[in-house]
Amino acid sequence: MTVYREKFQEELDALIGECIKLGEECHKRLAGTVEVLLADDIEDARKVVRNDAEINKMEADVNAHAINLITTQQPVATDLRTIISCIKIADNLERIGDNISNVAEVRKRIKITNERTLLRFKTMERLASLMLEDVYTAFKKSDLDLLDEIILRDQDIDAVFVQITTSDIFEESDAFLTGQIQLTAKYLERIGDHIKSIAEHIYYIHTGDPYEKYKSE
Amino acid sequence: MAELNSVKTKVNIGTQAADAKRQTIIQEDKEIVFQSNNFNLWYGDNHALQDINLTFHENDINAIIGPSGCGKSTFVKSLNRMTELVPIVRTEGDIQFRGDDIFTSGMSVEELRTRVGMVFQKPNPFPKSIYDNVAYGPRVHGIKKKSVLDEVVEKSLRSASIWDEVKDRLNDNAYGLSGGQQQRICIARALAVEPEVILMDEPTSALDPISTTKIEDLMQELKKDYSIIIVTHNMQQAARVSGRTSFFYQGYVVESDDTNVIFENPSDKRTEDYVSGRFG
Repeated sequence: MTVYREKFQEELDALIGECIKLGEECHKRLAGTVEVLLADDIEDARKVVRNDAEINKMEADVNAHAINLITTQQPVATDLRTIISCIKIADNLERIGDNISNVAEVRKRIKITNERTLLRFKTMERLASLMLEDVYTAFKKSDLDLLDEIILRDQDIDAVFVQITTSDIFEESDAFLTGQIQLTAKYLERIGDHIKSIAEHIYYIHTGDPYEKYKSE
Repeated sequence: MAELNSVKTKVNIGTQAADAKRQTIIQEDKEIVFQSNNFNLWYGDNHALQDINLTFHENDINAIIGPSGCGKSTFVKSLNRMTELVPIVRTEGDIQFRGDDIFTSGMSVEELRTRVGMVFQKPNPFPKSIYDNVAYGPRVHGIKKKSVLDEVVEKSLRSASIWDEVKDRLNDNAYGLSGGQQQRICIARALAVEPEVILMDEPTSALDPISTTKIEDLMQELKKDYSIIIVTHNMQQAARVSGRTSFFYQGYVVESDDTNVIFENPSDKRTEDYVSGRFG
């Protein structure tokens, strides 16, 4: 059997590579998200917000590459699912970048000092970071069980979010402070949602069915 | 990508169950037009078709795809017994048309070819006027009355979406038309004898994109009244026009399923490789 389309395969692998690079960049930035809240100086926060443009650019590049491949190569089946999923995954990663930047915006407005809350933020960040690492592993190893586990682990982040937003810090009279804590918790919780969504897209590449449908069959 | 394929094998069990379910739904809805049962064909020693089991339903467009030499044209030509024109051909198994075996039921070849029309790769109008091309079949069937022939010609040309383009020059030679128009004249000629099935063997491969689009639109109209079986090398065309697709490879049917399944999530790796353009 003669194998054709080697050039297309190279291009497809390159597109996947761009997505992985975007994921690695988000992973790198995610690791310092809560650290920025602790800093006395807000310059770090400003830098994080400024640098979000790089993530946006990487996402735009993935989209442009994907559209070019669809237009020129007319892919079908797994190829098409992979390309469409790359677009969606890049969107999720870009939104993770936005949420990291949003947390930095909070630091520009206020310095949260409640240690218990900060520790819980750190827990959320760490859980998200581990999920993102595992999503990469699951993709490389085509490990559907690990993807399942990652999707379930989003509930842990949600649980910490609920714990923060129902804690007694919200009994304090400083509405601005509690509002910013609420926002920060929400941004971190959304990062978990986006990683869960990425895991579902990878499921779709492998099975051809949306995650929910695949699991119900 | 290699990992993806191993995972695909794992999920095939679910796909097969879904396939059986879909098959049942289709069979409940539409009557079967053609059914081949363990059909085999040899050109001399060359075993060109091997155990072909396919079912085609009415009011559907069935695409047959596969690399050159895989047997798809041979199979389509078997459906109206055109392969018998080759002296060294031998067949086994049966092909049922509306429940009757086309080889043994006593149905004449003429009757079969009237009920199962064919359009070929290259437009092949007769060197006659547009009118005479379309009226040829009905005349052979004994229709001589001018008013009846006029009616048949107009109806056929309208059904083939070419009436408006040729109504003022019906007596012009069909050779003077463009390739796309000639092909639609050939379709009108096939429709004139009111077939039940239209076989199309790469009907647009010699046409420009606009003519191709016209033929494809026409097929969507025709499927309301006819069953269409189309052989095509154009993957996008199969994906656009057909409801079901069968993939032939080296004389076998590798996979036959809803067109969406074949192009979005085929069960067999060879199908995936072929529709993705990775071999052919």
